[in-house]
Amino acid sequence: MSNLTLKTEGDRHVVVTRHFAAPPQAVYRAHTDPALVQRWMLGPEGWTMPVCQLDPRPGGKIRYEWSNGKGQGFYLTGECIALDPPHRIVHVERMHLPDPTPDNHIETTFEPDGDGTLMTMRMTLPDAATRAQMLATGMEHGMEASYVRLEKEILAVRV
Amino acid sequence: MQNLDSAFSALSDPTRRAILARLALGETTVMELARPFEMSQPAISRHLRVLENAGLILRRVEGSKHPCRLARQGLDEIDQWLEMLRTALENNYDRLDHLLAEMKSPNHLGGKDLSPGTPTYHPGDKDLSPGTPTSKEKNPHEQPDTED
Repeated sequence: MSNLTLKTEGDRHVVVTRHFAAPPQAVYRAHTDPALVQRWMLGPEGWTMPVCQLDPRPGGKIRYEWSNGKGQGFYLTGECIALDPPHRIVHVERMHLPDPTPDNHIETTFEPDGDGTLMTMRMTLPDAATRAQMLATGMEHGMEASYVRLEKEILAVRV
Repeated sequence: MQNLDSAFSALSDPTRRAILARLALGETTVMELARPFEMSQPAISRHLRVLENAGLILRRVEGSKHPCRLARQGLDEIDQWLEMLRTALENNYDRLDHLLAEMKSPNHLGGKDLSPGTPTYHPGDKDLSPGTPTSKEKNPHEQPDTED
């Protein structure tokens, strides 16, 4: 069913890929139009994004706020660095839990893939320890994508 | 979450991941484990202690030997955790699939032509903003006028 892949790369990167049945123009737009982002980047069931600010220009600010409707929530801030519609987005982001996490530098590309689009999201963390921390706790809130495919790295290894 | 913190921290080291990969083949003594690595036994032992404290391996005493093996339970916990994360991410992208399908429909509020060559969205375009984001979320009964 799922065509999502997740893997770590080197000590500081996490790479996520996903195919979408829509052209790069549409997938790019769904990543850069705040009114659209707000409708899908919600994480686990029951969470909403009451605030979704995204200014898709170099230097443009990003602010996402999530809520579970029961008084719990957190937010993310970031800045756009480079945009090359509909091929590529480079931005930096950090979670506020409420203390800010180290910056996560993310390059997202959208390539034609059959009738659709292959999205590749490559995250770069400052160091291995930060990546480990992000994998263990940053996603506790079920938001931005970031994790390893451990079964590949460990359980499926056959020498 | 304490266990997961230490488990992921333990996994952030390539030598320790290689040790786990070796142990996936079966129970192994410290001496055997040290062999493929250009490391002293004490250095390997330090890595093993980290893995043990993180609940990823188990060690038993057999005379002067201390064979190690993978701790199924600790690995299962990581597996479950990652499955949860994967599910959360899948939820996001499943929603995005639906949104993209909706964007193709001419009835959709923001359904302008998305064929190649269409200019991309810029802030200030107003056909996609049925009210401010906050008012939309705070007033679930005032849904924008979609095709349903």
